[in-house]
Amino acid sequence: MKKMNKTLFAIIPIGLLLLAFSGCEESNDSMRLDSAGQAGSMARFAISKNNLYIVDNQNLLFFDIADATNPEPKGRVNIGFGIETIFPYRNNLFIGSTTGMHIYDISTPTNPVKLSVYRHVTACDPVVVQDNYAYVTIRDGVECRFGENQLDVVDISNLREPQAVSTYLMYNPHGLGIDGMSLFVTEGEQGLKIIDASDPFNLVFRFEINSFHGYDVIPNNGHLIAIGKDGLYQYDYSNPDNMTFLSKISVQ
Amino acid sequence: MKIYFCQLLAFLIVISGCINEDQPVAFPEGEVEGLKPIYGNLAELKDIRIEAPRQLERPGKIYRKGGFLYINELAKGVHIIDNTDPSSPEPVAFISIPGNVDIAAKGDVFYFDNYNDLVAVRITSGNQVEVLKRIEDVLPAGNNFPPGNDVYFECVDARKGVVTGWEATILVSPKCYR
Repeated sequence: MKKMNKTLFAIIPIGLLLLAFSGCEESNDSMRLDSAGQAGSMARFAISKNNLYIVDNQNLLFFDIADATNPEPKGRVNIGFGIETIFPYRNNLFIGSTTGMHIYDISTPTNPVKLSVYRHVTACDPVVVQDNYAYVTIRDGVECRFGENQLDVVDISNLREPQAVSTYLMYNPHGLGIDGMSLFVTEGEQGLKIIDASDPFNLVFRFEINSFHGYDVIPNNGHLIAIGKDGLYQYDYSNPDNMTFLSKISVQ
Repeated sequence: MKIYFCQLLAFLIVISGCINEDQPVAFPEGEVEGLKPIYGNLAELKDIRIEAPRQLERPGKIYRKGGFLYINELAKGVHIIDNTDPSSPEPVAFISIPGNVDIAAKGDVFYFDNYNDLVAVRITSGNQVEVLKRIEDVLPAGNNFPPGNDVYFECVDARKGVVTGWEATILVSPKCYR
């Protein structure tokens, strides 16, 4: 694995050149601060404490929002090409890109410090985090060439050395969300997969709902919101063995 | 080895021409099918306002806050849904925000992208929007390249305004390609 990382490191600048001109346009963030809301995994905006973080294609921008009505730009750091999504968790930002997951320390909010990069083949990839594990989906597509379709579980207990612990083949994973033992992955035309993540080394695929197109999800305390080309779907998953359909708002 | 191959392929594609000029792309003389940018009027593009609820057409990202859901309508704005009863969500309004894709909120202040600008917005009880602050040109123009690959296009001229979309057309001796 180490050797491969070194090889990759040498070759990645070449791949990045390409990504400068492609890259995945869609994307996202999430946060659980009381005063902020909760986004899906595709977000490019994230709020952590008194700061708003935004990723563009190459940079992480940060704004002081201690006074919410008066966001003040505080700087930016270059991350690399193909940056797509941002997920704040505790004192860290987990940034999804077409080349991997970047982990930043934001203990000093206006001085994000890069801790590590979990690299993989180039593909679109949002990330969510819970406790010591990050869940990363990797998807191929028109704008994310050379991709696989898979879900990686990554041990981040050492933030400087993220380690893959398990990998699963997927159909066409887009957004994802985790709440306790339940992991939800939207699978594009194949809808939504519900996965038991109580053992991160051995995820168990419970069942799927494939009656709609799935783009992103927000799970929260037994209540799931899913969005896709067909519209907005809501489910009750307080009993994970029996997802209950609540409502739908269809597209026109 | 597979990764190596992919990166190599990426390299080959790069040198085969993603950039506009000085690349071995054969830029055809005369007429060819391609795309041209649609430019928007700056004043109209910065007009943020509350409208009556409307149907979802091309929903994008979602955001949950309190008993409300906020659903992005790609490049057009945000649907506000009263989701106090998730069995019966009620659309209550639509905020028209040209170019919008992302949503975040702290307290009662929302942050939206409005093309290249970041705006801080408050939705007042009388269903009005108040733009508290606009930070111009802090976000990158995401539209300066057309969607897809292997396409000729009319080069973007920033003096003509902000690119709001692309349309198919017949180009004469195009100078841009991706």
